[in-house]
Amino acid sequence: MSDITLAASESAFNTLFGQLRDAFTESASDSGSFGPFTASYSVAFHLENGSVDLRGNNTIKISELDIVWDTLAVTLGIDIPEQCVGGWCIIPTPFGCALRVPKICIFSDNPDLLIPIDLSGLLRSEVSLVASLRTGYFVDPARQPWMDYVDAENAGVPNKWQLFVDPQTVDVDVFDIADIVGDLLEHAIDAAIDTLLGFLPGWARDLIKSLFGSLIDLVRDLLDIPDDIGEWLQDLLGTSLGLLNVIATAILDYLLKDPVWSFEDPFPILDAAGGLIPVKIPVANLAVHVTDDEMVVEANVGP
Amino acid sequence: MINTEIFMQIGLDSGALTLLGAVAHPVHEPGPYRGVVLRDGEEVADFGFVVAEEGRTQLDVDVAKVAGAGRTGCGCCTDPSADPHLRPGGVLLVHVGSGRGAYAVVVSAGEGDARRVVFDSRQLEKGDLFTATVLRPGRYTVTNTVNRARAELEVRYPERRREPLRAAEPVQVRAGDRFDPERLAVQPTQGQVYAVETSARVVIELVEPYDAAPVEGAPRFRLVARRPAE
Repeated sequence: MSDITLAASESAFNTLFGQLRDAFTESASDSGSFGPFTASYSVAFHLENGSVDLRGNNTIKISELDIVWDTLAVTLGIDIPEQCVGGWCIIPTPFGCALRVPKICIFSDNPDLLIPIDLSGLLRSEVSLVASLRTGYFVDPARQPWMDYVDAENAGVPNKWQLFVDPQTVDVDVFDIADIVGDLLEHAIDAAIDTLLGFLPGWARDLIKSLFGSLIDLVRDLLDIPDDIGEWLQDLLGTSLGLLNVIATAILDYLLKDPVWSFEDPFPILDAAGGLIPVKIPVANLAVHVTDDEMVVEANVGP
Repeated sequence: MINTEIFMQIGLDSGALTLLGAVAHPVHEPGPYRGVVLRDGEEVADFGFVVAEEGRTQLDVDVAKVAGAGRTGCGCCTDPSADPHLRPGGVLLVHVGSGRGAYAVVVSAGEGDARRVVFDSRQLEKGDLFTATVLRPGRYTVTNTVNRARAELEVRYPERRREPLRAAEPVQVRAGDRFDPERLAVQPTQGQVYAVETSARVVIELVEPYDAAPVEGAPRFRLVARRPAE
């Protein structure tokens, strides 16, 4: 029989988790080479919404936790294919061309074309996780051996009991990229070509673009993109570039490191007053379990 | 790297060859030949070739490359890897592969005192060809400066389409007492072949540039001013 029993309703636990969720931010970047093209991303995201369900099997389920992309910049790099003029036949014969003009090529090599795409606002993704709760005891590394609990409190380094959400499974839902991404990619390619050829007069840029034909088709061919660009991007980001892992790992690391709730040990009962030191009770054997309705924390009083 | 030179090439002159222009001269008689390359009227290099049965049907000479090699006195300054042999009846094709220089070529047959000029690109003769590719959209005049024959050329503004622009078959133009046809309309990158039937120096000059695709149905206004005949 424990000395202290504390219970939080599902609603109260949602509030606790909300504070933890709102403090989470993550940023990452990476790049990779995939044969005919390179890709890189730079992301920053935080979490919003989500609901916590307390379950009778001593676990909690957090659902529909939205990943909100503050930055989701993707850059594709491709070698654009050579374009040449000339090379046509001056004197055709039934046996082939008897005289041909030489080719002159527009590019002396295959220049890199970098296509930046801003997907923030266009991409929806969410996380669900099943977790248990666990307790931990934190001794601040800055606390000196000679400090008693009053010294530690005064120095801002008291010992703490902590309560963690301990994920068992983290499920990052497949991205849902808005259909508009196809148009966005096309405009990005057009702008990238304009940047590459920016020093040429407009008619020359238009001529080169007409030699390419549809730029989106050209890039689709070069990158072997299927009909559904959104799905291709999902796969590129999520699997090829490993962004799903980055998200899952960031959330896991955060939950394992940052408690959903913590309190000082010994626990303050009365503040210092009238020249008297504060009154605190030591807490031992903190344990937590979950029912369908409540999170229940139990502890003993004692050293 | 983008080859900006080809976009600076506005207009062409068969007698002062630049990028996107070429002259072709059929050579019938076997024997040694020597070509002298002139840049802006100055002799800058020479090259040699031999017309013989084992030769090929087309010998390309990039005069910019030859001029870059300079005069060596060897009489053969083309790309050393190229076979300088041409079959009798084969065609010597002179073109400019790079740079902004304007070139001409004078080709002589024979050796020593027996040497005689058989081709001067500054004045083409019957049987020669001048080929042109004009990229800059606009309206041009085509003039044979030898007999003052004139033609009009329109290079259409490139259209953005789903399919890549493929150059249409080159247009064939007879350059005789007059040009036939006298009005040409081509896509940019589409070739023009001027078949010379009388002495000719073909000059293509820009009259009116097109800087945007014409708007369908929009009215067009043109002012043409000509100096009164004296």
